[in-house]
Amino acid sequence: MISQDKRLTRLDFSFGNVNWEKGTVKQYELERDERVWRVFINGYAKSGFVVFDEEALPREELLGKLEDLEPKVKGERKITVAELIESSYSWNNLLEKV
Amino acid sequence: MAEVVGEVPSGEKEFAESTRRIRDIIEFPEISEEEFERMLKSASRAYGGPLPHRTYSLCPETRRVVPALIWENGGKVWITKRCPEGMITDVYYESVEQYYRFQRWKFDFKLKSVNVENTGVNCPLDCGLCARHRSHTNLLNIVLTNRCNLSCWYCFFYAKEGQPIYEPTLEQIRMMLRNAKKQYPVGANAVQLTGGEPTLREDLIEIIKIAKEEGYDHVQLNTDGIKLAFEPELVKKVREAGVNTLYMSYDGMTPQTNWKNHWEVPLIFENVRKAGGPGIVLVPTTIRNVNDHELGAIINFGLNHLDIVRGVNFQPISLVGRVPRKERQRFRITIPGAIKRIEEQTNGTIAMDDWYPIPIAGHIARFFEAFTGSRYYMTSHYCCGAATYVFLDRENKRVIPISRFLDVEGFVEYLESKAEEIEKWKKLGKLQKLKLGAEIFMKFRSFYDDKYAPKGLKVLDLIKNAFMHGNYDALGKFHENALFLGMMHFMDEYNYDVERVERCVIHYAMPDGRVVPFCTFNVIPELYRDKVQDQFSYTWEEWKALHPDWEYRKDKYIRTKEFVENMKKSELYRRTYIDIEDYFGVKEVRA
Repeated sequence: MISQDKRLTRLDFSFGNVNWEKGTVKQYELERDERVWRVFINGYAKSGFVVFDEEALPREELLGKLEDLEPKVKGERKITVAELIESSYSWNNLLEKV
Repeated sequence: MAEVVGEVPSGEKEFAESTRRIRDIIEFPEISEEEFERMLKSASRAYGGPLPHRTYSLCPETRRVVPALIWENGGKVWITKRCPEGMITDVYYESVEQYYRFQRWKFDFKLKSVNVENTGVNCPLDCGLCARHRSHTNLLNIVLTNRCNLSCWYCFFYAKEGQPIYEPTLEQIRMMLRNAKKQYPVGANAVQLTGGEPTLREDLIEIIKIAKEEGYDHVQLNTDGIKLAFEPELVKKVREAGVNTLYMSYDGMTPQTNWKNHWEVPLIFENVRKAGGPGIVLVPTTIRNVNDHELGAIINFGLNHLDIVRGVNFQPISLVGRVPRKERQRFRITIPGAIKRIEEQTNGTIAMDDWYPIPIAGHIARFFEAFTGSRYYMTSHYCCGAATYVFLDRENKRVIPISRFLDVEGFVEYLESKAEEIEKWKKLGKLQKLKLGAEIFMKFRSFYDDKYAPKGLKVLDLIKNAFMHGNYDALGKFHENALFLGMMHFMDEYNYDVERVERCVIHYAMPDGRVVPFCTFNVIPELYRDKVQDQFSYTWEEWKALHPDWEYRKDKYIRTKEFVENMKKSELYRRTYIDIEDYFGVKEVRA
């Protein structure tokens, strides 16, 4: 059973060579990987992020997988599994004020 | 064929036997790439536009999101997509007429809370729920375990010996319930506890109580019923803890078509009767050439046990996984196809026009939101489901669909016009509400024809109490004589329509904080169901260490020859299956 305290890495990207089709294909490829916890590649905005388990998936390997999209790392932070779950709850993500 | 006994039921031999003689094949129309391109260019794009209609689908091989065309040919609706490995066509809906009749009732609802940052541009790879989703959770599924007492041959989900065990903790379950409950502006109010086989969990009663504590009015248990057949105390405990409905697999009238629980159903029914509930909804997975000849008989069976059976919810098969075209032509059935068979098998008693699309409930909900302030929108895509109510006139031994004595569509249109009126007012005062209630009741009479209504059922009193006094007590009486009939067609890779999944109302809670539509959770398991459950599973060794007395084999049910022989000879079996009324004149027709 996964530990709630497990630390994950979130990398935010901009992409030099992406469109919707390339973005969806790459997102699917990364999403299949159990070492990747969350991923979003927006082919229109040419940006995205990946939340992954860096102990299992070395950063170089991830960047290698993204290479054809010409990624630039725009931000980086650590997040625990518990924090990732908490950040997903409905009450933390209202699109308009209650 | 002889009963398969002395082993864990898997259905493999029964299925092979059922499909030896194929009666009915769907011929798929041919469409050239040029024709596809031409139609795609001129196709409607807005949701609910006329055919041909452009949408997006999934490639079954590469999982690419590809443009797809929904189009008409020979009175049926088809879906065609151009995948990297070629064109793929499948039947989408077996009646153009019903497609358009249902389309008229489309209804969209905007969810204003999300669970992921993904915007939905990569739908269905962005789940969920994302900002693009158009329905709140009507029914939340929580997988309690991947352990199962059966070994269904087609199931890739249940834990085989030595494989990881997925079983969320009580705290995880509570948070999954709370997460969906707190959706904005409308939270989930109904939960289905599912599996695997959820009755294998020893803390099931505690889980049901947690669902009630978290404010869920409707708690249903999705079960094969096997444990409930042999543990009457468990049925009682489940009911007392708060389960309203047993959502029970029931695929046919014979041991061959219903190999899962044919022999156990008499015991399950008896235990439910003794415990005074919960109500049962029979769930036949409906497959062309396998059990589609028994749909009318299943409804007749439900009507014969109306004291405990609340509904029959048919689920046309979802052909998940890689399925060759030939197999799809043999087994695919869609909602209109199943409804047509019911019309034939009930000798026209329940006809095509007696059914309504699910989103018609959205229009009714709009009125009730304006009138009472209560918010519960059941919307979905108009091709996802269909439903109706049939009533049993016990005096005359007649079955009467609601549409025969109530102009449902006319009444809903009227309610919608009233909703518009109320929405213009700033506040609905008590006196105004009473006046409006009386007006609706008086108007209701013009949509209702007492001459055709089932005898003994006071529909007018029910409506009067509901609209004028806000009293729904008479609903109990209504349920005693009514059988809910539903259809829910879950998608697969071949008929996948992104417009449908965006409007999905049946969701799964995942322990990682996401809430995922049914048809992404199960159709793309490598991204959702299997992946996340692997991340949150116990390894076999961990599980064994935590449960030293547990043995894999003890979970499994073995149906013995002795049990089957005793059941065959029993009075209970006779009462359940043989000495029952034939409400549709099926026996007479056959004779």
